[in-house]
Amino acid sequence: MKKYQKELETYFQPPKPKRKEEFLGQFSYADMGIGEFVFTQAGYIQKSSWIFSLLLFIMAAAAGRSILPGGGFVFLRSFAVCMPFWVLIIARESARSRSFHMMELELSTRHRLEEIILARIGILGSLDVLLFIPVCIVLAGMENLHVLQVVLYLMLPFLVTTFLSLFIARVKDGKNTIWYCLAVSVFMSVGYQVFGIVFDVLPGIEKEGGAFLCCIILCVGIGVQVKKLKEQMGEMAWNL
Amino acid sequence: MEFIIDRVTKQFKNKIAVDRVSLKMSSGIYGLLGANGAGKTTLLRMMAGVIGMDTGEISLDGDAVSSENYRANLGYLPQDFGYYPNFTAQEFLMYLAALKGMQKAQAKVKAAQLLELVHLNDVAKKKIKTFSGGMKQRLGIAQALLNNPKLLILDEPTAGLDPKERVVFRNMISRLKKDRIIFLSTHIVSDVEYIADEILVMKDGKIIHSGSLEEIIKVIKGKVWECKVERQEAEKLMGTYALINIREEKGGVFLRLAGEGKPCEDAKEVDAVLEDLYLYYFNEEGRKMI
Amino acid sequence: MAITLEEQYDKIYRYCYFHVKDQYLAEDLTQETFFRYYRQEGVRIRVQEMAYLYTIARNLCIDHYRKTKEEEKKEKEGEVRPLDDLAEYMDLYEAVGRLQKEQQEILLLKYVDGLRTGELAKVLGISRFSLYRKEKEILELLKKKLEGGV
Repeated sequence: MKKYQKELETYFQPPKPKRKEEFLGQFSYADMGIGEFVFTQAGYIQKSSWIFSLLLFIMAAAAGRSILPGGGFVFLRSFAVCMPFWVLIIARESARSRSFHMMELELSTRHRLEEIILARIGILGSLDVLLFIPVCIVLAGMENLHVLQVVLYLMLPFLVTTFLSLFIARVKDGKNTIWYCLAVSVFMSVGYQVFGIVFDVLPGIEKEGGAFLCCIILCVGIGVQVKKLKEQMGEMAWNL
Repeated sequence: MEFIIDRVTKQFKNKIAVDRVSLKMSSGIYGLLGANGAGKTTLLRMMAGVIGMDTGEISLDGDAVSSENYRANLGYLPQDFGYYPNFTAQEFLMYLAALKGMQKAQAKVKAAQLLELVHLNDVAKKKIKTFSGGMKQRLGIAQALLNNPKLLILDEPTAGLDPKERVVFRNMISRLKKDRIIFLSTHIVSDVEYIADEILVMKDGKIIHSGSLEEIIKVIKGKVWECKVERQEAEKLMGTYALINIREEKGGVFLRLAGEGKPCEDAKEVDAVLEDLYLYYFNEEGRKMI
Repeated sequence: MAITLEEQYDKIYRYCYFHVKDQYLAEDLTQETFFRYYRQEGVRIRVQEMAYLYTIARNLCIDHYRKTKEEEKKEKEGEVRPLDDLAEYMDLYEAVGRLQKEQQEILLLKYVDGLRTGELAKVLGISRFSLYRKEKEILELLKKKLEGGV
């Protein structure tokens, strides 16, 4: 029967409907579904965010390569040092509603501000993760490290920057928040370079546990900051 | 259709912005009058789900204000709104349509219809940053109507519109009221005077008076006066009566006042209009307006 | 991607037209189907709910039959279809045309609209087993008619 589908379709074909357009224009109750919503939000992420994310990636790889040939560890460090800027790109994307005064409208729509921000963070974050998976695997191979160690090493600056950025966003809420976040990222990046050079840090087996614990604590800290930020947004204190 | 606001309160630091407001509404146009800072915007924001209430509940046909169903039936025009740079009018509407869960094909049709309704169809593809205040406001009204909302909340919708545009707006709102609850807040009395089915007067976070235009006017029926007096006398009267209008004339000052009892011997009682009531209630603000 | 509202409209409209064979009426019934669904379900119409939409549409069409009893008449009249490719399909068309209404309905819903067996059974209000039996009948009948026969 399946091969006759086209024919059957023609058999049952009705004459063209005449009032479909009018009806569709009026009847706005159809759901978009989460998947489609996220997909549409991807379209609204600034092109610059995509470009910067990729550029940063290329830069980090290039930097690692040029400084010391045959040194996987330097690669690792150059990526870690660039981490804070990926956070910044995501932060900038999240701050858009605030900067452009769209927050109030976006709080009253069916798919609210939180969903929008989450969708955008999710999308950009996914891109970053996709880029990083091969990186981690390659780096681990290069320096005879376990993949998890590499991940930990890269997660640390990421989480610290995220935590600090959220904290700053909450405390210094205002038009200039994003510049404070930039400062945080620069600070973290430079600090990590210095820290790295001074201590030649690479989590050894003993230090791994410590690094892992730090990540857990930071995740908790981030959770707390997000919660507080949400409450603060609820107050709309910024608009009075 | 039933829209219920039940003992809603909101406090900011030490100030009570909304004080145990309770309302029950069905379809029609409701006008919320009040001076700036009376708590109007806070109340509207709570109705739009933009901020939370300290106590109380708000629901539309059984859906609580925090539910997605509620927001799906809501159209909101805030007092002030921005836009992502480089958005054209059409892109703006499409963006918001997506947020309201509308699918693309539908959204396109609807956006086109609405742009025509607010007379922005010839600038649909122009960037919003080139728009005048009035055009932007009209765009805001259009976005509020995208999802065919049951509940339409408009905060100072005529701000930035010239008198002619205000008339167009009033007519548009009147036509929309079938099977809808339209709640608009304003401090421009003429916005609601002729189109509101019910008028609510808000002062210091409380609804101090509500009813149809005739019912509301009753409060100051027989209390509006016009007289002409010497300047000194005028100063004195302005202190005790609510001043509605003042005019310097040959031989004295012409006053239109609201208050108990004749302000002076040859004062004439005149028919009260909504504007008089507004200024009677908001004595302080009224005086500041001179 | 999930089915759009427009696609849903097209499908339900086609289905209603199959039942009532009148363009204007079919659109009325289609729009009524959506309104009823909305009233019952609130805000969402999702893909999985297509079966439910068909059920509502079907009930509306049946109610209409009861009111007008014009079922027989409408079945005889058809819509004139463009004749270009029909020559090839003549046999299939004739074959399908000679099936009973309920059998045609199953063909439409299962092979054109792609309803799954479980959903289809629900829409028609019969058991899966009955449905399976009917399908077999249809296929046999068609085979017979296609390979020449009554």
